[in-house]
Amino acid sequence: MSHTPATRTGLALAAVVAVAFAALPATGGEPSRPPPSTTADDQLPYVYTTWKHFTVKDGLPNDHIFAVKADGPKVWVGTEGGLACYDKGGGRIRSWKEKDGLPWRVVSALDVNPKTGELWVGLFGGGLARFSGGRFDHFHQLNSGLVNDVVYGVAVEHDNVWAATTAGASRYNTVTRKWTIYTEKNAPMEEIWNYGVSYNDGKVYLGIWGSGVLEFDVATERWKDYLDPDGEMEIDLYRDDGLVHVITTGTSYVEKILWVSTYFGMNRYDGRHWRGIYAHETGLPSDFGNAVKGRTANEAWFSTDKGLGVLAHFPTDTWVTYTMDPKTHGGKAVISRGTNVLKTVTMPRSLPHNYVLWVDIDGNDAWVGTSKGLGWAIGDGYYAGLRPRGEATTAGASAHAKPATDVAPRTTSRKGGNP
Amino acid sequence: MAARKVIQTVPVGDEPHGVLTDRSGRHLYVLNTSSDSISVIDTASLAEVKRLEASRSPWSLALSPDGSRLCVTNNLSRFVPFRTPSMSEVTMIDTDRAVVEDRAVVPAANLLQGIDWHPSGRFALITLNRTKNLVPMTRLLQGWTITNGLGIVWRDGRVDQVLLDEPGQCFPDPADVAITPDGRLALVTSSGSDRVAVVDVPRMIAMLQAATDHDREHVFPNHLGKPTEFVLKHIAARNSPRGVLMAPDGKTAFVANALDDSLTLIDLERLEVAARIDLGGPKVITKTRCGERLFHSARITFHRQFSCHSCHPDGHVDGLTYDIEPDGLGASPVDNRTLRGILDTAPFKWEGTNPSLRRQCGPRLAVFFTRIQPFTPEELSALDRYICTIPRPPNRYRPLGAELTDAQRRGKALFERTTTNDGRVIAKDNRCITCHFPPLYTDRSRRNVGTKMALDRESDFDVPHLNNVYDSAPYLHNGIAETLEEIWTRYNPEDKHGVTNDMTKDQLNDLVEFLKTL
Repeated sequence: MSHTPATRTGLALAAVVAVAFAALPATGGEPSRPPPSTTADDQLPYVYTTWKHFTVKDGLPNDHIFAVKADGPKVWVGTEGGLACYDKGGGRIRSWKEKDGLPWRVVSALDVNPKTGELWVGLFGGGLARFSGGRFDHFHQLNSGLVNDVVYGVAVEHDNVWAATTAGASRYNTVTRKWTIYTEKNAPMEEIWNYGVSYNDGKVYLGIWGSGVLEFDVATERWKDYLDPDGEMEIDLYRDDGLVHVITTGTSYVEKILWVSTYFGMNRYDGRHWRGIYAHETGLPSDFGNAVKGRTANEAWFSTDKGLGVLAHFPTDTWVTYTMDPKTHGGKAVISRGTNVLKTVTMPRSLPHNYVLWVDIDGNDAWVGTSKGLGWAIGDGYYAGLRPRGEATTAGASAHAKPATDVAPRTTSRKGGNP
Repeated sequence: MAARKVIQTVPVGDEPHGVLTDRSGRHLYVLNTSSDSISVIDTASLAEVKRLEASRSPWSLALSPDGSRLCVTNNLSRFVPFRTPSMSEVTMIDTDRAVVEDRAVVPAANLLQGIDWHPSGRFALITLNRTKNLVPMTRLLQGWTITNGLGIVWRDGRVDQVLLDEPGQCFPDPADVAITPDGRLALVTSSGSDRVAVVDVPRMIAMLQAATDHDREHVFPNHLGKPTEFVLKHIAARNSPRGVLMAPDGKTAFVANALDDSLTLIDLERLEVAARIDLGGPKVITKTRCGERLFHSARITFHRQFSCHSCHPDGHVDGLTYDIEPDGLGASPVDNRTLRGILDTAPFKWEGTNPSLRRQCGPRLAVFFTRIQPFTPEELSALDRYICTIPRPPNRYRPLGAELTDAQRRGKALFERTTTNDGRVIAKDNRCITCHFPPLYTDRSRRNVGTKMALDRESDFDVPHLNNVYDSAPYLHNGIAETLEEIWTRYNPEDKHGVTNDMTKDQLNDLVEFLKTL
């Protein structure tokens, strides 16, 4: 949450500062030093307590879920062993493997062209595929202008499809059929190992292993790079000075806010101010971020190796951290504000597995891809932000208010690897 | 419409061919035949709102009776693995969302052109060819080179195929189909034989539904005896009948005779020609027009099985690789080459053995293709004249007078380069520009570019011209390269087809961008 550069002030101050953010507008403005408030502790975010799991037993081609994309009544699922589609209306899963025409087994990324309904499929080692009307079209580095077949991310931008690959980014114009490659030759890409790509509202963001975040303005076709001002160090010398680390894995741009996941913590950037987000001082379960999905300017879902961290209300630093017990497979959601645990909710199930690779938001619901199946978090009665305790939704689960003193404040401010 | 004036021009893709609105009139669909896409135009703003992916060469479209689905035929087969049968597609569009919802596969068929929905909405009829390009063309004598027929595209995506050829009386180049409002009859045009077939639709459907799945999938698509069960009559039209349309009252059909500039009116009660309407075309038939009629007529082939147009639709390509000569099954496969802009590009044939079009279209055609008396000298001269006039379309990648883009300019430098990336001099004979020099981008020689494969008898092949090269996939003498990229990423391992293996991926992309401008 909020800090002086070199020290932490402890739980009490953190709580005061966090509460105060609630008074700020949802977007814009410098949110780091608000006036105190006394009401936020009584307010809680929405907690997803109804979960459904899907694995190979339910028809998925593989339990290693690398990508999920919700598209109306369909939910597309990319796995290590093929592509699947869950029909929410009929409750059925249909899958495609190589024998069914899928050009490559490992599906690492998915996006849908909202205009045409075409599904674009990133294939880890197999290039790109377009799935339209039951037909797969295969684009790879031998038959097309795609820069490399190891595709980590896919994003549709207007009539263009972007692919984040291990050797640069490709942009394919589906109307003119022109391929453009972006590497160190024509973009500020210090490294070319592109981990993720996202598009929204006129901006394409590339998350690059070792080169931070690159922003491509679609209107001007100009690049802007975001690096870690501290350099490639594991220590955060100056808080909130920029990207927490240049090994970035995911980006998500929503309501003019850029959310970033890295292997050493997460970021929020409002166009002027950066905010570093770390596990030791928030509800983030781990600094090892696999992906991020921003829902609003104030809510983001972080996929980590130790669970799912949902920053449910940024102004108050209120989190819901979802994990599963590996022994009992029971689910748990911890509501916290900074390091102060407000409430713990147990439920029969939450995540299918704590190693979370991807999240997609689907209206009130969320889809969570893990290394052991797909989770469907059903958001009946979902609300954004906070509500008074008496109105907060945790139905169907047992809740335990946990005293704040149960949690020892963490006072270091470092960019760790896995805590 | 009342003033008969053009009020606005809407940019779409290349060679727009068919247009149709949905039932509400909200969207206009335009088939971009050369771009393999379908433009969706908002009729209120007259702006293209999206472009849908077709298969290859989308040709005609028809709206289902309930207005929910729009079906599109595609003239060319999808790309298929080397020496495997064609696989064509009917693209189905959900008009509510204006997206492609299904793609019905029509195996072993190509040149899907005409389409009409049955008024019941249960199925649509399409015209098709079944080209046996994997066996030597000389099998024509056995009636097995190109067969012609109808496809029945069911609502659920299943497709039946039946022939309209009969032994000794083929039905070459079926171009369009129209069904009477009562669903009883379908009229199908044969542009290669100047006839219209009258199909008893209920009888044809009953025949299919009484058959086993095996017969529907494997027997009927090749059965020359079946048409007698459902073709009621053939009606003579004029030169190259193509489009056919029913009057709303179901009493008259109109047939457009493309090379006669006329309409044939058919009385649907008597099933006879009622009238010919002259559309005011030229009264003097020029030598070129005469050649064009010959090109589109099947009377020059044994049993009238096909015309020049069957493999070179409108002078272009059908996208297939052929086994022409009786030198062994599958030996010496050759990619079909476009006739657009062919003037001055002699010699002809991939092996470059025909010095002139007259030789190509004369004795060689009779021996290997038509298996019948060759053209007379006068006919040959007219055909030669027509073929030499088939124009190249405007280049979509470089509008007239436009400057090269940055990528195209970089590609041009690579095309003309004399040294590799690390400074080694490229031998003159191994530079792109040496064999493919402007304006035709061919030196009209035969070269060994390392593409000889197991089925080939020769290693040296004609250097093809590169004009509009983007529009004539697949590539190389045997059509094994689906894309321009594959010419160098797959089939140039030893740098014999130009020195390209030192190029980075972005350089190869630039080279391709330049080639598309030629």
